[in-house]
Amino acid sequence: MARDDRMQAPLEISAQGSFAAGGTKIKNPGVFDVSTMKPEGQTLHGDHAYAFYQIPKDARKLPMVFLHGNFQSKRSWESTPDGREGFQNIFLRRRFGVYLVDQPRRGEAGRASIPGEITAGCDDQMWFSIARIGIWPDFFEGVQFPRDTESMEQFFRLATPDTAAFDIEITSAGVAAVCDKAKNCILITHSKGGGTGWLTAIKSSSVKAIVAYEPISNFVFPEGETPEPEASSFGPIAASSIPLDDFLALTKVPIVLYYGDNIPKMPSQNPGQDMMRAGIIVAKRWVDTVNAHGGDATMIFLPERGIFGNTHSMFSDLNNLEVADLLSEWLAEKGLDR
Amino acid sequence: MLKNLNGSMEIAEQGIFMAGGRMIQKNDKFDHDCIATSGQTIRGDHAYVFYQIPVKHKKYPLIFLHGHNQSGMSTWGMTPDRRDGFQNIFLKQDFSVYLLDQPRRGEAGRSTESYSIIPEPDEQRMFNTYRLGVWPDYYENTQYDRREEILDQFFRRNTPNTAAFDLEIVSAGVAAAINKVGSSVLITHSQGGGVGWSSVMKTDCVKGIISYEPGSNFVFPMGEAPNPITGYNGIDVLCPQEVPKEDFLKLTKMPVVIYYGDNIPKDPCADPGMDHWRMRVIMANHFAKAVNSYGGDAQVVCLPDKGIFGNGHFPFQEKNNIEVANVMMQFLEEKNLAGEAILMRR
Repeated sequence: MARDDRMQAPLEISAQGSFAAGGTKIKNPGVFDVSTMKPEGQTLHGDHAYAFYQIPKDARKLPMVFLHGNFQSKRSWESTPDGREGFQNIFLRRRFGVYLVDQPRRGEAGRASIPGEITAGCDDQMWFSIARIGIWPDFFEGVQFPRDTESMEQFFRLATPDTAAFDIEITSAGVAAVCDKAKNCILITHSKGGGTGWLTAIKSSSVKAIVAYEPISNFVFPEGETPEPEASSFGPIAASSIPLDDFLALTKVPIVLYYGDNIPKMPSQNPGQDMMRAGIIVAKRWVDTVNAHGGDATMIFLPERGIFGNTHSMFSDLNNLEVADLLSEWLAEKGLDR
Repeated sequence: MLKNLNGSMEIAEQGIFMAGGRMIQKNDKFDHDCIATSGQTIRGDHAYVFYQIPVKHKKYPLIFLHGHNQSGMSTWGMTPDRRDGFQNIFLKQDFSVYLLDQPRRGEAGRSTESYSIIPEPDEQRMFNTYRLGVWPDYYENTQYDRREEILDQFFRRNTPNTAAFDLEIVSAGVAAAINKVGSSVLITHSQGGGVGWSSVMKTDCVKGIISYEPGSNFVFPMGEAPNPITGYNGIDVLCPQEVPKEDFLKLTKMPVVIYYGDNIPKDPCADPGMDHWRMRVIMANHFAKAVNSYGGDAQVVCLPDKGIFGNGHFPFQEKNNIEVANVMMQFLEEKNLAGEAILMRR
């Protein structure tokens, strides 16, 4: 992959913009009185997804729709914590259109139809652990994360809360509406976005491939084939059941799941690592089930490809160009980069 | 005059960063074996910045700040009817653009304080207060696109505070963002106008201020504020803010322009949407006069006086936004804020 020489070239953007997709509309009973402007008779639009998109010159046929994970937003794919280019820019340079999503009730899509409670809990160090940067305050040896204070500061400040309760049906409906507006696309998810992604692909035939970075939760199985929850020191990792007809949508598109480094094989008392260990057990079962029904799902463990030290957000890691190369290879193999 | 409006954009660099903010720490030891809050920290109350630097760019970047219930992208990005907003229009004029989400809004949703969000059906009030018309009728000369799906997109741009609006915290975050950018022109909208004056008093980097329809937190030197202004209905009261004189004097060091749109009456008026803005224009004129009395360069421009009619509260995204951008460009040129950079960045 020619990359270093291209990193400094300008990005030629032929179009960029944003829109809301999906969502609900509530009409409050009563009659609107212009002199008092009380809530009676007024409306509220909410629960939509938000997308910012950029289309490069000579774009490839299928754009990429990027969906963040828990407590994150479209910023997952923008600059890395140490200010390098994230997947947004990297794949723009590789001539893909990019759509960066904020799911309903997150980030720019903060307007919800129901009240929300935000608790400002002290949990930065928990995220350090869940991200598998290390075991606070120590970094894992060889971890692909910068060690300077400013990068850590930027990393912690990437967190942003739900503005109302997470509801996977509402969330996936909003993301599916984005995919439909993007037309045919490659859906790229992270972490909890993985579970939302499976339901999104079931709701939208615009999704032509799914790339999931470290999905661990909300795996969906055909009724009767769902495994028991997998215990972990973080808590049980449970899967859910859906009708077989819905599930079969996931066998119609190529799917790849990527996992990074420092995931133990044996149960661990560190919840950040152990949730991944347990999640992977469910994920393997899920991949086998998709393939048993005629699908094309693959799991890739970066250390098995000789790529070490990756965290939960490998697309922002120090070696994210290498991580992007892996994806480019897979897209080429599946004919998704035309 | 504006150029290249239909062309593509050559971006040398684009990215994001968070600026400012606070950190709170609990004193006990952090225990990594369980998910507990003991000994952990929370960082929040920062501003979020998305920036794009074109290949050839002007000396001063433009920093854009949104208003109440809006975000950087919702206000300055693509218009609800999917045309170029000020982000693209000014990129195409070779300005670097920095779009902010203020602390506790949009991408900067993480706060160090807990909060309850209670959504209220309020869109008809918005329709009136943003001067689209008197619900359900548009003003005859409105520059809003009247299609229902466009109004739907407009309403969905609302996004709430994720913690209480606090002028000090918000302006500290915005000032930190400005300091990271360096010498620049600040462009604000609505409630962002008041945040803007406070932010500028906290930094030395702002070389010009452009404020669209500021509606609150106008500042005056201690002891020199005018009386509060009361609306037609007797309920709406607009209060000025007093600040130390040496802070206020910072606002006399750069050119300032305040723009208002159309359908703002001169006399008290029963239409609460219109009357709300009548009061703001009066206060803005007091503010400009105060700035100028200390040697500053502030002006209030009502777009109809320039022959531009029908604009509501979001002139930069309404149908004639190119015309509105032209007026802003003329201001930048007149005040020597649109010069070329001597050296390429990087």
